[in-house]
Amino acid sequence: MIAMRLITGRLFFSLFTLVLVSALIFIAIEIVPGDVASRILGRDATPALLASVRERMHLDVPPVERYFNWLGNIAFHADFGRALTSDQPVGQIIAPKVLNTLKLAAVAFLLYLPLALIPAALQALHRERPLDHGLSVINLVLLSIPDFLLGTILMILFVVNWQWFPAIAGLRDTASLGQFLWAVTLPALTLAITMAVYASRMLRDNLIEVLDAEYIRMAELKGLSRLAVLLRHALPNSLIPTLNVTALNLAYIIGGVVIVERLFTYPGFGSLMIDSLQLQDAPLVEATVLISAAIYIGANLLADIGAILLNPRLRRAS
Amino acid sequence: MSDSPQPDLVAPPSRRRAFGQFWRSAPTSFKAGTIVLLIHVLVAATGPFWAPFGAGEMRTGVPLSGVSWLHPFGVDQLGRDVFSRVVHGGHIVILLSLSGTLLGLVIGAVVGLLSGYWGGWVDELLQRLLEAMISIPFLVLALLAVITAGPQLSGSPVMVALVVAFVYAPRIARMARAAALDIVTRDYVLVARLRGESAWSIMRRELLPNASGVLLVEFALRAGYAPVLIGSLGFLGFGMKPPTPEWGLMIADNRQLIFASPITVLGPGLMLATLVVGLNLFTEGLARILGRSTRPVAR
Amino acid sequence: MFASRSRTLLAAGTLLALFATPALAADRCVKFAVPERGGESSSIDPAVAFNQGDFFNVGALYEPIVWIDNNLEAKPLLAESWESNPEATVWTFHLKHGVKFHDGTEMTSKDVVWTYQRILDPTTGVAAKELAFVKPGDVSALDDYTVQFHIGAPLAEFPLLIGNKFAYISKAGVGADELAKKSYGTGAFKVENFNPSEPVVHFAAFKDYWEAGYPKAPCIDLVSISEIVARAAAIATGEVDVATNMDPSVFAMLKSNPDVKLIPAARGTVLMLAMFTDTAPFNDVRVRQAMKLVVDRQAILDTVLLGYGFIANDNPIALSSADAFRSDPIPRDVAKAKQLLAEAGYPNGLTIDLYAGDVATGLISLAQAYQQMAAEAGITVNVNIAPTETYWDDVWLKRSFAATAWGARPTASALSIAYRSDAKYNETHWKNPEFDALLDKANSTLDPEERRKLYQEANKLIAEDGGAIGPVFATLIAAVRTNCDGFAPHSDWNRVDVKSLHCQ
Repeated sequence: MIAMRLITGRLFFSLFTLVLVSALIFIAIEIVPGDVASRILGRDATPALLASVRERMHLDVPPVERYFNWLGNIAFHADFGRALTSDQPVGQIIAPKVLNTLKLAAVAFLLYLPLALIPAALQALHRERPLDHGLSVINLVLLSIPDFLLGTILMILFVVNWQWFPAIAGLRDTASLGQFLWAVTLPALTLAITMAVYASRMLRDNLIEVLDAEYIRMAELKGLSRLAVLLRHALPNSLIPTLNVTALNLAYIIGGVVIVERLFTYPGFGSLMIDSLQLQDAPLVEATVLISAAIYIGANLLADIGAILLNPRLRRAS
Repeated sequence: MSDSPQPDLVAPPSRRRAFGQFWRSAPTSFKAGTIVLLIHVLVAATGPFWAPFGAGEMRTGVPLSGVSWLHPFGVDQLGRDVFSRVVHGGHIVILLSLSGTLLGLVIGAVVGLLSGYWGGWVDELLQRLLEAMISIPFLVLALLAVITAGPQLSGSPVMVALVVAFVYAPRIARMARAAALDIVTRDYVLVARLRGESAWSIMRRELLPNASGVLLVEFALRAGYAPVLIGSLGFLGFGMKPPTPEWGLMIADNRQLIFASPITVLGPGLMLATLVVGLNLFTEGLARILGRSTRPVAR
Repeated sequence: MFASRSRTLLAAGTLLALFATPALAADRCVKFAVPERGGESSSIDPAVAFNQGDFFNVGALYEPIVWIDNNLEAKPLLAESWESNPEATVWTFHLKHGVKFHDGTEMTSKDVVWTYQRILDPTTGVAAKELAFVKPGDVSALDDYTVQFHIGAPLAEFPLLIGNKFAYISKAGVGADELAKKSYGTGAFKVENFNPSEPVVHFAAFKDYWEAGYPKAPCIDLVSISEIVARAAAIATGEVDVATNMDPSVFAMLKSNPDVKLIPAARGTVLMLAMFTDTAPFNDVRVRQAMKLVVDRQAILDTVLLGYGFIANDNPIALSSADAFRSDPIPRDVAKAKQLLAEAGYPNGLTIDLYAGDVATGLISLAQAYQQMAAEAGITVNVNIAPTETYWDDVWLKRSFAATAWGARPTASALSIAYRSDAKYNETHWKNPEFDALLDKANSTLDPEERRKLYQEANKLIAEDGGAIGPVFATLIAAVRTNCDGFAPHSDWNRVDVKSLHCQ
């Protein structure tokens, strides 16, 4: 019961936070100098043209009224409005970009799991031995290379020098699965490495902690091999804290993916978010930022709910 | 210096011995990190005096001529020596990272500690606001700040430090609040409150000293990521402006030269990566000394 | 080391390509890469084209009555011929017969009249600003194939000016909403369903195109690759067939690639630093002259453009043009610059803010190079880099010293667009009655030789008195795969001609 109440409370707070995010973004776009009309017209803006474009985009409506109209449309019609620049429904613009980023994220995730798990497991098994120290150093070095530098180094090696992979990841719309995988390997690898180094570091410490626990020693005494103990007992137990990092990583993919997308010319969600912000296309900015905020908040919410449900004290109380 | 005959001019031997003991017992990561950082600080502080060329000096060699003894990091398109630029840029990167993080720490700590101390609906509202800000991707926050500042301010060091602080403050505030929630339940805070001390003075005298460990680790952790954050901003064109030899900006600027002269990217990259390695090692060691565990920076 | 390694790999790539291509290759869809496409704001409406991608769209889908060719001369396109009265105030254009729009209807004079009236409406787009010498009421149809313009003042080079980058003929009665979704032009290609958020725009050949045998390619897929590194790698590996606006920094790599040819345009984009001549310290002509004298034109050409361009003499007319006032570069003279500054009251030098943005290849580098050169004369230049997206909006025409770039234009329009006292784009705030009088005289002078002399005097005046520091022209260079033919980048970055382009 307590758990239930806690979870409902959390959900309510999360929703409130999202509305807060939308208000913050709207205010920010309003106080930022210039508007979408002047952004589009740029060098060619004239007062007459600006006025006509502004009218077409309903920028002449007072901001507060615009905000509540927009919020109302979402709340009652699940309608995110139309982009000011292209006059297309926001959903139609965002959907393919989100799909693209999800595809990229999926490949990155496939690479991320082994990149995070294998070194961590090796380190835990060979604790405080040369292999552990060696992998720690590699981990630390990778941890210290920013994603834009890592992507550039991968590009120098695999595109410029060896020409194993294409420089552009997202041009082929009708590509086969094989072609797609070939094209997104480098951006996915960049993301996967950036995420894996964080997770791997946590996982190693957790694994060691669990391996030291009483019941694991018992299992070992019963004659199970260290690897079997690790796979059967330690790994599942240390996954939960690692899930936390993974949730954070997911939020990172959505928010920071723009750098990797720019590097490899991949038409994804991150670029759309930054581009629409630079164009000050309010409905698009709102929708994209809300999606990334929702993913961050959702990931944290899941982690919280997990913690509440797994907390024995709360479970007993219900 | 250590064998100076005048005992009153050197530190008391006991303190020196204490430091020696501390250093010997310090974790390896702390020692390694300190050494790397010292080298970086030394280069940053003295570099402008011994760098072979000026930061903006053109005609130092044939553009894009690659690695040579005279130009270990090559020559960029404008004919500038990349090594000299990297050396000239060290203090910029370090000062920006530290000042931005420090500002974020001050703001974050004050807001977080007070919020935790006050509690109630103020705390609740502040927490929602902080969470809202944290949930907005940091690049969006940074870009909003840059666009709002306008072309005159954008790219100035003050602006970059402010952006770093702006991104970090809510995240640090949340940590500080968690620490405060724990501290406010202690007796001495209750006593101070009963004495009628103001919230500000309680925060300064009771909360801050007791949260200093957490905040110190938090500061080191954030400072370690700050060069990356500043570099990312420079890479996307929202950071320092050319011809400032900020490393992230140099990597971004020279990226189009990776076909002609990859070393012009790898040189600044090497410096950036070693600085962050140093900061990370230092932080890990520091956390171990203070008996706290590090966690990855939530980006 | 890198060169040899890459050559072997490129050879391997060629081998693969040989296997991939059928022995008797039919012409196929061409993959064309431009640096920017404007994302959600990209457009196929000729009246509201604002970036490289938009200009490609318009160039492939629409045609003007007069085409400005690569040497910046007026050539017949939808108009077969034209003539004027002796005063150059009434211009009559005879349209080509049998030209079809993409919907199958014939193009006639009423479409031309409708188009000009549409673009001359200031709420439609910006053409009205550049075509200020025509009023909507000035244009009329004499019969189905004859269009006449009655203009207020004489204009000797009217045909050159009427072929403006926005003056592309669209079908009468079709408004902005429809033009945003589908092409209603006479161009060699057509677009059935335009969606700005799609990463690839598909252009299909227009079967009823008026010129037999064109277009050469069955279709073109347009993509935008903003990163120069990615664009270079894409052309090097054959992921795209044509890539425009290549940067000098990747030429060395592309030159060593046997599968890629680099094709320069005949003229270049002039890179400039514009000073407000009505704002201190630039309101003193001696300061302006000093600021120009510190420029080492050759050094800028060698570094900023790595040699891929031409020297300019602080005005928009190329040194090689017959309209130029001198054909040799103005030499650098730091001592003279210092002396001029001292005379102007700045014996200890001066400090100024320069704004630049990444809005044209080399502009940011130019600002940095200028900063170094000016320092030697005691001029401290603070370089401010403004965000690309807001540059034309917030910085240009608003800051007293800012970097700018102009695509190649015919002399008449190059001189008037930014230098006349009343020019809408007067980026130097330069108001010189002598200059205006020269241009007016040139406009009413029908003899080309006489006109040329007036133009020479006019651009000399810009260089000596005006507020523009223009050290170089950047050559526009396109990279094209060797199995493709029929494409050359236009001297003016706003124009694209792809009807002869084809690939095997």
